[in-house]
Amino acid sequence: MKSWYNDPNMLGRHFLVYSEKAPRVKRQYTICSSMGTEVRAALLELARSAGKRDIEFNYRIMLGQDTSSIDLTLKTYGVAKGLATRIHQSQVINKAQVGEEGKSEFKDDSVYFIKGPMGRGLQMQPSGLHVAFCAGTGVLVFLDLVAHLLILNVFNATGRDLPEEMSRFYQPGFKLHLYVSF
Amino acid sequence: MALGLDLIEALTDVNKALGLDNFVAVIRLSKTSDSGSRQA
Repeated sequence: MKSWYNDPNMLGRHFLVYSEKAPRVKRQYTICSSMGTEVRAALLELARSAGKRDIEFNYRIMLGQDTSSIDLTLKTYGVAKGLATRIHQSQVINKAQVGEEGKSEFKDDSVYFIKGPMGRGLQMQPSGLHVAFCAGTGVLVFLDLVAHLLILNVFNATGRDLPEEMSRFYQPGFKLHLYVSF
Repeated sequence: MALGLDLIEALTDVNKALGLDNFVAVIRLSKTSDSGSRQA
């Protein structure tokens, strides 16, 4: 897995996550690199630099290196026995936030499998109008496309070279109209 | 804040500053009673 994908064909694809103890219970996690802490910060910094002569951007995020850790974005609905509820309330998160040792209800010796990438992705065309409708966490499917357009527009405006996969795919006339409700 | 809304608004602002039209976001915020939908 990678913390960022330059290849537009990876947008919208997903990974399957399941545990060794309950292999029949599988959860799908769509790739959304833009919500990763480091990537998100770099993108917002890039946006703030738009229009300036010298843009600030952490190019390291675009190197496409494999990573041994992943960021998961989970919304909790407060359901008593819900997985997201357990994770949001767990000592694992509290430990990360406050830097204190805590007893985890998630055992460290549990084995999880991550399978993928799967699915056909967004199946975009290199040019033309693309319209997307989404709500809530459904927006996560399209955020990396928003991020690609951000990089595309700022880099093109300042004459910087795009990653090869992006410059090869996106052609003039590519547009995205995003309808989203929260 | 709504998930990813900052990134969506960032691209909207960038396009406005650069005079580009390859992205349009129509956002509906359900928790604000007076907002309805808005086009960014």
